[in-house]
Amino acid sequence: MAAAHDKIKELKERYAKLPVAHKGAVYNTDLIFHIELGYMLDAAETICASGLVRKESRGAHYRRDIPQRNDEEWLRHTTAVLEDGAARIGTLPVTITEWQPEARVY
Amino acid sequence: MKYAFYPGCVARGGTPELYDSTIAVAAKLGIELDEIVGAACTGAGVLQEKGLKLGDTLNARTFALAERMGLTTILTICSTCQGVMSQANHRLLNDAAYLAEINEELKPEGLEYTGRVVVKHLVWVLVEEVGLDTLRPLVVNPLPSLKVAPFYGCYILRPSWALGLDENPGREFYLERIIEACGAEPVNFPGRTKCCGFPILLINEANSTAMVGNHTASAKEHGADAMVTPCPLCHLNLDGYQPKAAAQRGEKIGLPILHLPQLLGLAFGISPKELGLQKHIVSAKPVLEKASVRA
Amino acid sequence: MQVTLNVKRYDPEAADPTACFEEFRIEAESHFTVLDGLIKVREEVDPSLAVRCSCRASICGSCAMRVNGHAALACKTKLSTSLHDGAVSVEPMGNQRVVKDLVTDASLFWGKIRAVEPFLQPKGPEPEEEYIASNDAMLNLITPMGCIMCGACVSDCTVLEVDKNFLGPAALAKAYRFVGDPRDEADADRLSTLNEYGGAWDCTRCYECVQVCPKGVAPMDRIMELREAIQRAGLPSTIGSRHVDSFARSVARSGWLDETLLAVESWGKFNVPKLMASAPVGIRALVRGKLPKGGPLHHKRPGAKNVERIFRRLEHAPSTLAAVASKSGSAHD
Repeated sequence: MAAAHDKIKELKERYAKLPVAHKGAVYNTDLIFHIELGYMLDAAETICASGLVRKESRGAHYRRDIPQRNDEEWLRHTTAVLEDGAARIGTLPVTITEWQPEARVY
Repeated sequence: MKYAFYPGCVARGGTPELYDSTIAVAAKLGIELDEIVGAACTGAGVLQEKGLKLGDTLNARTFALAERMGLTTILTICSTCQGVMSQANHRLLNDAAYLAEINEELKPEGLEYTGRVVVKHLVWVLVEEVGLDTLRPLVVNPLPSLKVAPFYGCYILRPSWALGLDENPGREFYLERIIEACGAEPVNFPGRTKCCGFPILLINEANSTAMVGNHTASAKEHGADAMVTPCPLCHLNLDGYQPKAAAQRGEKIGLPILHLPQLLGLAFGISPKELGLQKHIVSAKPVLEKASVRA
Repeated sequence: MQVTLNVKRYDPEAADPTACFEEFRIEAESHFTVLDGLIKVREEVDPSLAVRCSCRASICGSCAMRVNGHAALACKTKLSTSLHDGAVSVEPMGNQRVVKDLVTDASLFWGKIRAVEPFLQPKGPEPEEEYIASNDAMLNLITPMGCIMCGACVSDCTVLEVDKNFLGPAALAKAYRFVGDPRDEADADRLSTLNEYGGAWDCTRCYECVQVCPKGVAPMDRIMELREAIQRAGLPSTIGSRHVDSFARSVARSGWLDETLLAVESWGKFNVPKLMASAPVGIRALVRGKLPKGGPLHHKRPGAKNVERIFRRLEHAPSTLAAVASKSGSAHD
């Protein structure tokens, strides 16, 4: 995951220099895909960086090195804020109402 | 080759020259046409607006009449008859319970449709059963300088699954092949598989006539000397309403419209009079001149 | 395999914005759809090619265009079976304004859909919970509900080609979807609007929409059921409904069609200007010797009494929609 994180950083640097080949103002999918790629890289970085921070496994987030859930430290939301071109990861408490967290046993 | 002949209403009414030219050409080709006496109109898609069962029953009755004649192939000379009968047969053969229900309606007349009938338009019979190799030697008057735009008519092509185009994709180009076999040159143009406008002629004449104008004018722009159609309803509109279409567009069109057997008849050396070419609204003279035939 | 895509290009910003075909040769896999081919062109040959697509699985309806002259979803059309001499032609849809290359403006399409008020209009007090329709009552609406709004039928509609006021196949199929819905109680208004110019009677029954619809909606069949419903609703007769009635009377009486009477009865016996205007066509026909087989009078064909019997039995047997539109098994029972 650390390697992927590095790769995304590298891709973001390359993306900053990526030109848009087609300059048209009408239905320019080349431009649309360019914009979308930028956002996809942000989203990919967020997933990767928050996955590295969250030292447990929970739901779809699964780490082979830490297969157990850790409610004591990680019953928290992950937040990501774009700061100086990189994702700064933080956490927020979870408000539990009707549904209690349970182990996934199927 | 013997067929149960179903000429349809229009070949007996508005375009009698189609009936006559069919008989003349069939004789040359050795096709025996045994007319189904007492067959009703197919409904032409119009009666189907009153409900499908009415039309399907009338057509099942026609199929049963053909079976009673000991014949299993019905030959049509009208794209509309062909399409409506093909669709009716498609429904009847794919639903045994429905067929049984409809046979109940035929009982009082002592008829029953057993599902053995195949309905084929003359254009299909020519290519698939007579064969172009049989047809070519009959061409005593090839028409090499004649450029002919084929106009199929909706019902002989669509929906393709009811008209056997999935099994015989070539059917989409049979007119071109027959035009070539007659020694003439087929012309491709945007309207070749579109609607002639006839079904809305009485409902929205302006739209119907605009369709006539678009197709005839564009065929002409693409170099056609004449148009050929396997559908008498298309003929009624493309020929009969062409002067109105020309007036609507404010331009001359003057494109002769031939019934399929008339084109064959010319190539076979049958006299234009016998083919009824003098009966058209748009004069067929330019075609006769190109074909080097005296009217 | 090596394939050629002949793509109709149009760039409104070009110095000469005339639409014309451009040839692209690509190496295609055997499983490629036409859309796969176009995406390959866009990604590897020319990024300026405008193609609209999304799901690539014939669900979203974004990629309707003309393939070899007929409207289709590019993602549902196999490239290998579309080739003629190794080439396929790809054009934008017809009847709609082209924005760029293969992308068309959908406003004509949506304007027509909006015009048929495509939402349930129940009357009376609201039920405590939701409006419920019986399963049986909805079965007949499965086909029109399958519409994914791709616009293929509108593209190839032969009436829209000559008259943009026609509601067109997609909107009429949508209208049918509500006329046939037992929870909808605006049928009288809906059918009365559809009985007018631009509505159900203006369809020319060419089957283009049935042929090109990628979802089996068969819009034309739905339009025919609307015509049936209009006739059963006892709305004021129009040329359209008189046309059907006259046709039916002629065949019921004699076994076949009387064309002259059809014109006279469709236009209305007293529509003198219309009858006079049509006279030249009839006179021209007579002058050319177009006499019907068996003379000018419309004779009964043999067996006509059997045809008449079938009419008596079945002329008023309703098809599916009419059965549903009678609102049997409706929501509120």
